[in-house]
Amino acid sequence: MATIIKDLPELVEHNIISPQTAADIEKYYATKAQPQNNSMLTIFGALGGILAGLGIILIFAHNWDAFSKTVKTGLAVLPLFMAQVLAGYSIFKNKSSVWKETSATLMFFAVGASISLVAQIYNISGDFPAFLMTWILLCLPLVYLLKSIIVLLIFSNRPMWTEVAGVAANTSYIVFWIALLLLTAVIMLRYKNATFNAGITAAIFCFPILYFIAKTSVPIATILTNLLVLAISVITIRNGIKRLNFRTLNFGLVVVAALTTFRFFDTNISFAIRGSLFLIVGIGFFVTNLIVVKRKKDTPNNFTHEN
Amino acid sequence: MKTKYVFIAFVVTALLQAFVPLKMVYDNETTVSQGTVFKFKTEPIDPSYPFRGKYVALNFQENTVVVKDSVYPLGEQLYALVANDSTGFAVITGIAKVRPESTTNYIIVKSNGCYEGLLRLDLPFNVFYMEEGKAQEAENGYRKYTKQDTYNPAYALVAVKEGNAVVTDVIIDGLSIRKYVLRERKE
Repeated sequence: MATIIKDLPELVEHNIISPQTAADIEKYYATKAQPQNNSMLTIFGALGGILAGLGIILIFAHNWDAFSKTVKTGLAVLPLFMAQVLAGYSIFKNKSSVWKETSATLMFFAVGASISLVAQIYNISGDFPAFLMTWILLCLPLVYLLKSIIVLLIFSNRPMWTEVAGVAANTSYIVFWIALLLLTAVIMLRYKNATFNAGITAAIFCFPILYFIAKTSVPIATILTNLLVLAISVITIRNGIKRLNFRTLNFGLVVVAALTTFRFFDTNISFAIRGSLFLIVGIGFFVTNLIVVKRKKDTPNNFTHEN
Repeated sequence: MKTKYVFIAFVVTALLQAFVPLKMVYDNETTVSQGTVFKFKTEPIDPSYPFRGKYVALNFQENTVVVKDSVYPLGEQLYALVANDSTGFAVITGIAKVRPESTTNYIIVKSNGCYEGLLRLDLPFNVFYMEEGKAQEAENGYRKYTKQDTYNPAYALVAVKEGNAVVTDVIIDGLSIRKYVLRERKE
Protein backbone atom coordinates (compact mmCIF):
# COMPACT_ATOMS: atom_id res chain seq x y z
CA MET A 1 0.00 0.00 0.00
CA ALA A 2 2.78 2.39 0.99
CA THR A 3 4.70 1.67 -2.23
CA ILE A 4 1.65 2.43 -4.38
CA ILE A 5 1.24 5.81 -2.73
CA LYS A 6 4.96 6.47 -3.11
CA ASP A 7 4.76 5.62 -6.81
CA LEU A 8 1.73 7.85 -7.47
CA PRO A 9 3.67 11.05 -8.45
CA GLU A 10 5.80 9.01 -10.86
CA LEU A 11 2.71 7.43 -12.45
CA VAL A 12 1.06 10.83 -12.83
CA GLU A 13 4.26 12.28 -14.32
CA HIS A 14 4.38 9.59 -16.99
CA ASN A 15 0.69 10.06 -17.78
CA ILE A 16 -0.15 6.50 -16.71
CA ILE A 17 -2.91 7.79 -14.44
CA SER A 18 -4.58 11.19 -14.17
CA PRO A 19 -3.95 13.48 -11.15
CA GLN A 20 -7.60 12.93 -10.23
CA THR A 21 -7.11 9.13 -10.14
CA ALA A 22 -3.98 9.60 -8.01
CA ALA A 23 -5.96 11.72 -5.58
CA ASP A 24 -8.75 9.13 -5.54
CA ILE A 25 -6.30 6.30 -4.84
CA GLU A 26 -4.72 8.30 -2.03
CA LYS A 27 -8.16 9.07 -0.60
CA TYR A 28 -9.21 5.41 -0.85
CA TYR A 29 -6.21 4.18 1.13
CA ALA A 30 -6.56 6.98 3.63
CA THR A 31 -10.16 5.99 4.45
CA LYS A 32 -9.29 2.30 4.36
CA ALA A 33 -6.40 2.74 6.77
CA GLN A 34 -8.55 4.64 9.25
CA PRO A 35 -10.50 1.74 10.81
CA GLN A 36 -7.32 -0.30 11.16
CA ASN A 37 -5.74 2.46 13.19
CA ASN A 38 -8.91 2.69 15.24
CA SER A 39 -8.95 -1.02 16.01
CA MET A 40 -5.32 -0.89 17.11
CA LEU A 41 -6.16 2.08 19.26
CA THR A 42 -9.10 0.15 20.75
CA ILE A 43 -6.93 -2.87 21.52
CA PHE A 44 -4.20 -0.81 23.16
CA GLY A 45 -6.81 1.33 24.89
CA ALA A 46 -8.42 -1.79 26.33
CA LEU A 47 -5.07 -3.20 27.42
CA GLY A 48 -4.15 0.10 29.03
CA GLY A 49 -7.55 0.20 30.71
CA ILE A 50 -7.10 -3.32 32.10
CA LEU A 51 -3.64 -2.52 33.47
CA ALA A 52 -4.75 0.77 35.00
CA GLY A 53 -7.84 -0.92 36.46
CA LEU A 54 -5.75 -3.67 38.05
CA GLY A 55 -3.43 -1.04 39.48
CA ILE A 56 -6.37 0.87 40.98
CA ILE A 57 -7.79 -2.35 42.48
CA LEU A 58 -4.43 -3.10 44.09
CA ILE A 59 -4.15 0.40 45.57
CA PHE A 60 -7.71 0.23 46.93
CA ALA A 61 -7.19 -3.29 48.30
CA HIS A 62 -4.04 -2.24 50.12
CA ASN A 63 -5.75 0.68 51.87
CA TRP A 64 -9.18 -0.95 52.22
CA ASP A 65 -9.22 -0.92 56.04
CA ALA A 66 -8.42 2.80 56.09
CA PHE A 67 -11.53 3.82 54.12
CA SER A 68 -14.75 4.90 55.78
CA LYS A 69 -17.84 2.76 55.33
CA THR A 70 -19.34 5.33 52.94
CA VAL A 71 -16.27 5.31 50.68
CA LYS A 72 -16.20 1.49 50.73
CA THR A 73 -19.88 1.27 49.82
CA GLY A 74 -19.39 3.82 47.03
CA LEU A 75 -16.49 1.80 45.63
CA ALA A 76 -18.56 -1.38 45.88
CA VAL A 77 -21.41 -0.09 43.71
CA LEU A 78 -19.43 2.21 41.38
CA PRO A 79 -18.32 -0.56 38.96
CA LEU A 80 -21.93 -1.72 38.76
CA PHE A 81 -23.20 1.74 37.82
CA MET A 82 -20.40 2.19 35.29
CA ALA A 83 -21.13 -1.17 33.65
CA GLN A 84 -24.84 -0.35 33.61
CA VAL A 85 -24.25 3.00 31.88
CA LEU A 86 -22.04 1.26 29.31
CA ALA A 87 -24.62 -1.47 28.68
CA GLY A 88 -27.48 1.05 28.52
CA TYR A 89 -25.52 3.07 25.97
CA SER A 90 -24.87 -0.09 23.89
CA ILE A 91 -28.58 -0.86 23.78
CA PHE A 92 -29.74 2.73 23.24
CA LYS A 93 -27.30 3.37 20.40
CA ASN A 94 -27.71 -0.21 19.13
CA LYS A 95 -23.96 -0.75 19.21
CA SER A 96 -22.19 -3.82 17.80
CA SER A 97 -22.26 -7.21 19.50
CA VAL A 98 -18.72 -6.58 20.78
CA TRP A 99 -20.00 -3.62 22.82
CA LYS A 100 -22.96 -5.58 24.10
CA GLU A 101 -20.93 -8.66 25.01
CA THR A 102 -18.28 -6.61 26.80
CA SER A 103 -20.73 -4.54 28.80
CA ALA A 104 -22.85 -7.62 29.67
CA THR A 105 -19.78 -9.45 30.96
CA LEU A 106 -18.68 -6.41 32.95
CA MET A 107 -22.17 -6.08 34.38
CA PHE A 108 -22.29 -9.74 35.33
CA PHE A 109 -19.13 -9.48 37.41
CA ALA A 110 -20.03 -6.04 38.79
CA VAL A 111 -23.32 -7.40 40.20
CA GLY A 112 -21.52 -10.26 41.96
CA ALA A 113 -18.79 -7.93 43.19
CA SER A 114 -21.17 -5.29 44.56
CA ILE A 115 -23.19 -7.83 46.58
CA SER A 116 -20.02 -9.55 47.85
CA LEU A 117 -18.37 -6.27 48.82
CA VAL A 118 -21.42 -4.90 50.65
CA ALA A 119 -21.67 -8.25 52.47
CA GLN A 120 -18.01 -7.83 53.39
CA ILE A 121 -18.39 -4.23 54.58
CA TYR A 122 -21.19 -5.23 56.97
CA ASN A 123 -19.62 -8.60 57.90
CA ILE A 124 -22.59 -10.54 56.58
CA SER A 125 -21.73 -14.23 56.44
CA GLY A 126 -24.76 -15.00 54.29
CA ASP A 127 -25.30 -18.29 52.60
CA PHE A 128 -23.45 -19.00 49.42
CA PRO A 129 -26.13 -20.80 47.35
CA ALA A 130 -28.61 -17.98 48.03
CA PHE A 131 -25.98 -15.43 46.98
CA LEU A 132 -25.32 -17.31 43.73
CA MET A 133 -29.05 -17.63 43.08
CA THR A 134 -29.58 -13.87 43.53
CA TRP A 135 -26.62 -13.22 41.27
CA ILE A 136 -27.95 -15.52 38.52
CA LEU A 137 -31.48 -14.11 38.70
CA LEU A 138 -30.22 -10.52 38.51
CA CYS A 139 -28.02 -11.31 35.51
CA LEU A 140 -30.19 -13.72 33.55
CA PRO A 141 -32.00 -10.83 31.75
CA LEU A 142 -28.63 -9.79 30.29
CA VAL A 143 -28.70 -12.90 28.11
CA TYR A 144 -32.01 -11.65 26.64
CA LEU A 145 -31.38 -7.92 26.54
CA LEU A 146 -27.76 -7.80 25.45
CA LYS A 147 -27.91 -11.17 23.65
CA SER A 148 -24.83 -12.11 25.60
CA ILE A 149 -23.36 -15.52 24.82
CA ILE A 150 -20.54 -14.95 27.32
CA VAL A 151 -22.97 -14.65 30.26
CA LEU A 152 -24.70 -17.79 28.98
CA LEU A 153 -21.29 -19.45 28.88
CA ILE A 154 -20.68 -18.54 32.52
CA PHE A 155 -24.01 -20.15 33.40
CA SER A 156 -22.80 -23.41 31.81
CA ASN A 157 -20.58 -24.23 34.78
CA ARG A 158 -21.32 -27.24 36.89
CA PRO A 159 -20.64 -25.55 40.28
CA MET A 160 -23.25 -22.96 39.32
CA TRP A 161 -25.88 -25.63 38.74
CA THR A 162 -24.90 -27.52 41.87
CA GLU A 163 -25.44 -24.41 43.96
CA VAL A 164 -28.67 -23.49 42.19
CA ALA A 165 -30.03 -27.00 42.77
CA GLY A 166 -29.07 -26.50 46.41
CA VAL A 167 -31.63 -23.73 46.87
CA ALA A 168 -34.23 -25.47 44.74
CA ALA A 169 -36.06 -26.38 47.91
CA ASN A 170 -37.11 -22.76 48.24
CA THR A 171 -40.47 -22.69 46.45
CA SER A 172 -40.56 -18.93 45.88
CA TYR A 173 -37.77 -19.29 43.32
CA ILE A 174 -39.72 -21.93 41.41
CA VAL A 175 -42.55 -19.43 40.99
CA PHE A 176 -40.06 -17.04 39.40
CA TRP A 177 -38.80 -19.66 36.95
CA ILE A 178 -42.31 -20.59 35.90
CA ALA A 179 -43.05 -16.91 35.29
CA LEU A 180 -39.86 -16.68 33.25
CA LEU A 181 -40.87 -19.70 31.19
CA LEU A 182 -44.29 -18.18 30.42
CA LEU A 183 -42.76 -14.79 29.59
CA THR A 184 -40.29 -16.39 27.20
CA ALA A 185 -43.07 -18.33 25.49
CA VAL A 186 -45.01 -15.08 25.02
CA ILE A 187 -41.94 -13.26 23.64
CA MET A 188 -41.20 -16.14 21.26
CA LEU A 189 -44.74 -16.19 19.90
CA ARG A 190 -45.05 -12.42 19.69
CA TYR A 191 -41.72 -11.80 17.97
CA LYS A 192 -41.55 -14.97 15.94
CA ASN A 193 -40.29 -13.19 12.83
CA ALA A 194 -38.33 -10.41 14.46
CA THR A 195 -34.56 -10.03 14.20
CA PHE A 196 -34.17 -11.28 17.76
CA ASN A 197 -31.34 -13.81 17.76
CA ALA A 198 -33.08 -17.16 17.40
CA GLY A 199 -30.33 -19.16 19.08
CA ILE A 200 -30.35 -17.03 22.19
CA THR A 201 -34.14 -17.08 22.41
CA ALA A 202 -34.13 -20.84 22.21
CA ALA A 203 -31.43 -20.96 24.88
CA ILE A 204 -33.42 -18.72 27.19
CA PHE A 205 -36.45 -20.87 26.69
CA CYS A 206 -34.41 -23.89 27.69
CA PHE A 207 -33.16 -22.31 30.91
CA PRO A 208 -36.19 -22.83 33.14
CA ILE A 209 -36.44 -26.37 31.77
CA LEU A 210 -32.79 -26.95 32.61
CA TYR A 211 -33.45 -25.67 36.08
CA PHE A 212 -36.10 -28.30 36.67
CA ILE A 213 -33.74 -30.95 35.27
CA ALA A 214 -31.02 -29.71 37.64
CA LYS A 215 -33.34 -30.42 40.53
CA THR A 216 -33.29 -34.12 39.71
CA SER A 217 -29.85 -34.45 38.12
CA VAL A 218 -27.15 -31.79 38.22
CA PRO A 219 -24.78 -33.62 35.77
CA ILE A 220 -27.48 -33.91 33.10
CA ALA A 221 -28.38 -30.21 33.44
CA THR A 222 -24.70 -29.31 33.17
CA ILE A 223 -24.16 -31.44 30.08
CA LEU A 224 -27.29 -30.01 28.43
CA THR A 225 -26.23 -26.41 29.17
CA ASN A 226 -22.84 -27.10 27.65
CA LEU A 227 -24.38 -28.66 24.56
CA LEU A 228 -26.64 -25.61 24.28
CA VAL A 229 -23.71 -23.18 24.35
CA LEU A 230 -21.84 -25.40 21.90
CA ALA A 231 -24.83 -25.44 19.53
CA ILE A 232 -25.13 -21.66 19.63
CA SER A 233 -21.42 -21.18 18.94
CA VAL A 234 -21.55 -23.67 16.05
CA ILE A 235 -24.48 -21.71 14.58
CA THR A 236 -22.44 -18.51 15.02
CA ILE A 237 -19.44 -20.11 13.28
CA ARG A 238 -21.65 -21.29 10.43
CA ASN A 239 -23.09 -17.80 10.03
CA GLY A 240 -19.57 -16.39 10.01
CA ILE A 241 -18.52 -18.73 7.21
CA LYS A 242 -21.74 -18.13 5.29
CA ARG A 243 -21.50 -14.34 5.46
CA LEU A 244 -17.71 -14.32 5.06
CA ASN A 245 -17.48 -12.34 8.27
CA PHE A 246 -14.32 -12.87 10.34
CA ARG A 247 -15.73 -11.21 13.41
CA THR A 248 -18.77 -13.48 13.66
CA LEU A 249 -16.64 -16.51 12.85
CA ASN A 250 -13.96 -15.79 15.41
CA PHE A 251 -16.49 -14.86 18.06
CA GLY A 252 -18.09 -18.30 17.67
CA LEU A 253 -14.66 -19.88 17.85
CA VAL A 254 -13.71 -17.92 20.97
CA VAL A 255 -16.88 -19.16 22.68
CA VAL A 256 -16.01 -22.76 21.77
CA ALA A 257 -12.46 -22.20 23.03
CA ALA A 258 -13.73 -20.68 26.29
CA LEU A 259 -16.13 -23.58 26.76
CA THR A 260 -13.27 -26.03 26.24
CA THR A 261 -11.09 -24.09 28.68
CA PHE A 262 -13.81 -24.14 31.35
CA ARG A 263 -14.17 -27.90 30.96
CA PHE A 264 -10.40 -28.18 31.26
CA PHE A 265 -10.67 -26.90 34.82
CA ASP A 266 -13.78 -28.49 36.25
CA THR A 267 -14.35 -31.94 34.84
CA ASN A 268 -12.77 -35.31 35.34
CA ILE A 269 -12.19 -36.01 31.67
CA SER A 270 -8.93 -37.85 30.92
CA PHE A 271 -5.90 -35.88 29.76
CA ALA A 272 -5.95 -37.58 26.34
CA ILE A 273 -9.51 -36.47 25.60
CA ARG A 274 -8.91 -32.96 26.91
CA GLY A 275 -5.71 -32.71 24.86
CA SER A 276 -7.54 -33.82 21.73
CA LEU A 277 -10.34 -31.35 22.41
CA PHE A 278 -7.89 -28.45 22.60
CA LEU A 279 -6.16 -29.67 19.45
CA ILE A 280 -9.47 -29.92 17.58
CA VAL A 281 -10.50 -26.41 18.67
CA GLY A 282 -7.07 -25.04 17.66
CA ILE A 283 -7.21 -26.68 14.24
CA GLY A 284 -10.84 -25.51 13.93
CA PHE A 285 -9.69 -21.90 14.41
CA PHE A 286 -7.10 -22.28 11.67
CA VAL A 287 -9.22 -24.22 9.16
CA THR A 288 -12.39 -22.11 9.41
CA ASN A 289 -10.44 -18.87 9.07
CA LEU A 290 -8.66 -20.35 6.06
CA ILE A 291 -12.00 -21.28 4.48
CA VAL A 292 -13.29 -17.73 4.89
CA VAL A 293 -10.06 -16.23 3.50
CA LYS A 294 -10.29 -18.49 0.45
CA ARG A 295 -13.96 -17.79 -0.12
CA LYS A 296 -13.39 -14.05 0.21
CA LYS A 297 -10.67 -14.28 -2.44
CA ASP A 298 -12.97 -16.23 -4.75
CA THR A 299 -15.79 -13.72 -4.39
CA PRO A 300 -14.14 -10.29 -4.67
CA ASN A 301 -17.49 -8.57 -5.18
CA ASN A 302 -18.77 -9.81 -1.88
CA PHE A 303 -16.25 -7.71 0.00
CA THR A 304 -17.41 -6.87 3.49
CA HIS A 305 -15.15 -4.52 5.30
CA GLU A 306 -14.64 -5.74 8.85
CA ASN A 307 -12.20 -4.30 11.29
CA MET B 1 -37.72 -6.63 19.51
CA LYS B 2 -37.90 -2.87 19.42
CA THR B 3 -34.94 -1.07 20.94
CA LYS B 4 -37.32 1.00 23.05
CA TYR B 5 -38.78 -2.03 24.84
CA VAL B 6 -35.36 -3.66 25.24
CA PHE B 7 -34.11 -0.42 26.77
CA ILE B 8 -37.05 -0.18 29.19
CA ALA B 9 -36.54 -3.82 30.22
CA PHE B 10 -32.85 -3.06 30.67
CA VAL B 11 -33.55 -0.07 32.93
CA VAL B 12 -35.81 -2.27 35.10
CA THR B 13 -33.06 -4.91 35.30
CA ALA B 14 -30.45 -2.27 36.17
CA LEU B 15 -32.67 -0.86 38.93
CA LEU B 16 -33.17 -4.34 40.41
CA GLN B 17 -29.43 -4.97 40.25
CA ALA B 18 -28.75 -1.73 42.11
CA PHE B 19 -31.61 -2.33 44.56
CA VAL B 20 -30.15 -5.55 46.00
CA PRO B 21 -26.83 -4.15 47.33
CA LEU B 22 -28.39 -0.79 48.27
CA LYS B 23 -31.14 -2.51 50.27
CA MET B 24 -28.45 -4.49 52.09
CA VAL B 25 -26.66 -1.22 52.90
CA TYR B 26 -29.89 0.43 54.10
CA ASP B 27 -30.97 -2.49 56.33
CA ASN B 28 -27.59 -2.90 57.95
CA GLU B 29 -26.98 0.82 58.34
CA THR B 30 -30.36 1.10 60.15
CA THR B 31 -29.32 -1.72 62.49
CA VAL B 32 -25.94 -0.13 63.20
CA SER B 33 -27.33 3.37 63.85
CA GLN B 34 -30.56 2.49 65.69
CA GLY B 35 -29.90 -0.96 67.14
CA THR B 36 -28.69 -1.92 70.62
CA VAL B 37 -25.03 -2.93 70.84
CA PHE B 38 -24.25 -6.19 72.66
CA LYS B 39 -20.90 -7.73 73.57
CA PHE B 40 -20.71 -11.36 72.46
CA LYS B 41 -17.79 -13.36 73.89
CA THR B 42 -15.85 -14.94 71.04
CA GLU B 43 -12.68 -16.62 69.83
CA PRO B 44 -11.27 -15.37 66.54
CA ILE B 45 -10.17 -18.13 64.16
CA ASP B 46 -9.02 -17.69 60.57
CA PRO B 47 -10.02 -19.79 57.61
CA SER B 48 -9.95 -18.43 54.05
CA TYR B 49 -13.00 -18.09 51.96
CA PRO B 50 -12.61 -18.54 48.22
CA PHE B 51 -15.01 -15.77 47.19
CA ARG B 52 -14.70 -13.00 49.70
CA GLY B 53 -11.07 -12.65 50.67
CA LYS B 54 -9.85 -12.94 54.21
CA TYR B 55 -11.95 -12.85 57.32
CA VAL B 56 -11.87 -13.85 60.93
CA ALA B 57 -14.41 -16.55 61.71
CA LEU B 58 -15.95 -15.82 65.09
CA ASN B 59 -16.61 -18.75 67.35
CA PHE B 60 -19.23 -17.51 69.80
CA GLN B 61 -19.53 -19.05 73.23
CA GLU B 62 -23.12 -17.92 73.63
CA ASN B 63 -24.76 -20.10 71.01
CA THR B 64 -26.89 -22.43 73.07
CA VAL B 65 -30.10 -22.00 75.03
CA VAL B 66 -31.90 -24.29 77.49
CA VAL B 67 -35.35 -25.26 76.24
CA LYS B 68 -38.17 -27.27 77.81
CA ASP B 69 -39.64 -28.78 74.65
CA SER B 70 -37.37 -30.21 71.96
CA VAL B 71 -39.32 -29.77 68.75
CA TYR B 72 -36.74 -27.67 66.87
CA PRO B 73 -35.97 -29.31 63.53
CA LEU B 74 -32.51 -28.66 62.09
CA GLY B 75 -32.45 -25.41 60.08
CA GLU B 76 -35.73 -24.07 61.46
CA GLN B 77 -35.88 -20.25 61.63
CA LEU B 78 -36.19 -19.00 65.21
CA TYR B 79 -36.04 -15.71 67.13
CA ALA B 80 -33.39 -15.51 69.86
CA LEU B 81 -34.00 -12.91 72.59
CA VAL B 82 -30.83 -11.14 73.66
CA ALA B 83 -30.01 -9.35 76.92
CA ASN B 84 -26.95 -8.43 79.01
CA ASP B 85 -25.86 -10.55 82.00
CA SER B 86 -24.41 -9.13 85.24
CA THR B 87 -20.89 -8.90 83.71
CA GLY B 88 -22.11 -6.87 80.74
CA PHE B 89 -21.88 -9.63 78.15
CA ALA B 90 -24.70 -10.79 75.90
CA VAL B 91 -26.75 -13.85 76.74
CA ILE B 92 -29.60 -15.50 74.92
CA THR B 93 -32.49 -15.35 77.36
CA GLY B 94 -35.14 -17.14 75.37
CA ILE B 95 -36.24 -18.52 72.07
CA ALA B 96 -39.43 -17.84 70.10
CA LYS B 97 -40.96 -19.38 67.02
CA VAL B 98 -42.86 -16.20 66.12
CA ARG B 99 -41.50 -12.65 65.85
CA PRO B 100 -41.48 -11.05 69.34
CA GLU B 101 -43.66 -7.93 69.69
CA SER B 102 -42.48 -6.64 73.08
CA THR B 103 -38.81 -5.96 72.25
CA THR B 104 -36.50 -5.12 69.34
CA ASN B 105 -33.54 -6.97 70.90
CA TYR B 106 -33.82 -10.27 69.10
CA ILE B 107 -31.86 -12.02 66.35
CA ILE B 108 -33.14 -14.29 63.59
CA VAL B 109 -31.24 -17.56 64.04
CA LYS B 110 -31.41 -21.12 62.76
CA SER B 111 -31.74 -24.26 64.84
CA ASN B 112 -28.59 -26.35 64.81
CA GLY B 113 -30.16 -29.30 66.59
CA CYS B 114 -31.56 -29.92 70.04
CA TYR B 115 -30.08 -32.46 72.47
CA GLU B 116 -31.28 -33.18 76.01
CA GLY B 117 -32.97 -29.81 76.44
CA LEU B 118 -30.05 -27.82 75.06
CA LEU B 119 -30.78 -26.09 71.74
CA ARG B 120 -27.75 -25.20 69.59
CA LEU B 121 -28.13 -22.08 67.43
CA ASP B 122 -26.59 -20.98 64.15
CA LEU B 123 -25.91 -17.29 64.67
CA PRO B 124 -26.24 -15.25 61.45
CA PHE B 125 -23.10 -13.22 62.23
CA ASN B 126 -19.97 -15.32 62.42
CA VAL B 127 -17.45 -13.49 60.30
CA PHE B 128 -15.43 -10.30 60.59
CA TYR B 129 -13.64 -9.24 57.41
CA MET B 130 -10.13 -7.87 57.59
CA GLU B 131 -7.50 -6.76 55.13
CA GLU B 132 -5.73 -9.73 53.59
CA GLY B 133 -2.90 -10.88 55.84
CA LYS B 134 -4.21 -9.25 59.00
CA ALA B 135 -6.71 -12.06 59.66
CA GLN B 136 -3.97 -14.66 60.23
CA GLU B 137 -2.00 -12.20 62.37
CA ALA B 138 -5.12 -11.52 64.43
CA GLU B 139 -5.54 -15.22 65.16
CA ASN B 140 -1.86 -15.68 66.05
CA GLY B 141 -1.98 -12.59 68.26
CA TYR B 142 -5.06 -13.89 70.00
CA ARG B 143 -3.43 -17.28 70.67
CA LYS B 144 -0.44 -15.52 72.24
CA TYR B 145 -2.75 -13.31 74.27
CA THR B 146 -4.71 -16.26 75.70
CA LYS B 147 -1.50 -17.97 76.87
CA GLN B 148 -1.18 -15.32 79.58
CA ASP B 149 -2.24 -16.30 83.10
CA THR B 150 -5.05 -13.79 83.27
CA TYR B 151 -6.72 -12.09 80.37
CA ASN B 152 -9.99 -10.41 79.56
CA PRO B 153 -12.24 -12.33 77.17
CA ALA B 154 -12.30 -11.19 73.54
CA TYR B 155 -15.69 -10.08 72.32
CA ALA B 156 -17.53 -8.89 69.25
CA LEU B 157 -19.62 -5.72 69.26
CA VAL B 158 -22.91 -6.68 67.65
CA ALA B 159 -25.64 -4.17 66.80
CA VAL B 160 -29.06 -5.80 67.10
CA LYS B 161 -32.40 -4.52 65.85
CA GLU B 162 -35.57 -6.45 65.04
CA GLY B 163 -33.94 -9.68 63.99
CA ASN B 164 -31.01 -8.22 62.08
CA ALA B 165 -27.51 -8.27 63.61
CA VAL B 166 -24.31 -6.59 62.38
CA VAL B 167 -20.83 -7.17 63.81
CA THR B 168 -19.26 -3.72 64.04
CA ASP B 169 -15.95 -4.61 65.67
CA VAL B 170 -14.02 -7.30 67.51
CA ILE B 171 -12.25 -6.30 70.72
CA ILE B 172 -9.15 -8.05 72.05
CA ASP B 173 -7.43 -6.75 75.22
CA GLY B 174 -9.59 -3.63 75.13
CA LEU B 175 -8.47 -2.76 71.59
CA SER B 176 -10.19 -2.98 68.21
CA ILE B 177 -8.83 -6.08 66.43
CA ARG B 178 -7.34 -3.94 63.64
CA LYS B 179 -5.44 -1.79 66.15
CA TYR B 180 -4.51 -4.90 68.11
CA VAL B 181 -2.81 -6.40 65.04
CA LEU B 182 -0.91 -3.15 64.43
CA ARG B 183 0.23 -3.05 68.07
CA GLU B 184 1.41 -6.68 67.80
CA ARG B 185 3.41 -5.80 64.68
CA LYS B 186 5.26 -3.04 66.52
CA GLU B 187 6.18 -5.26 69.45
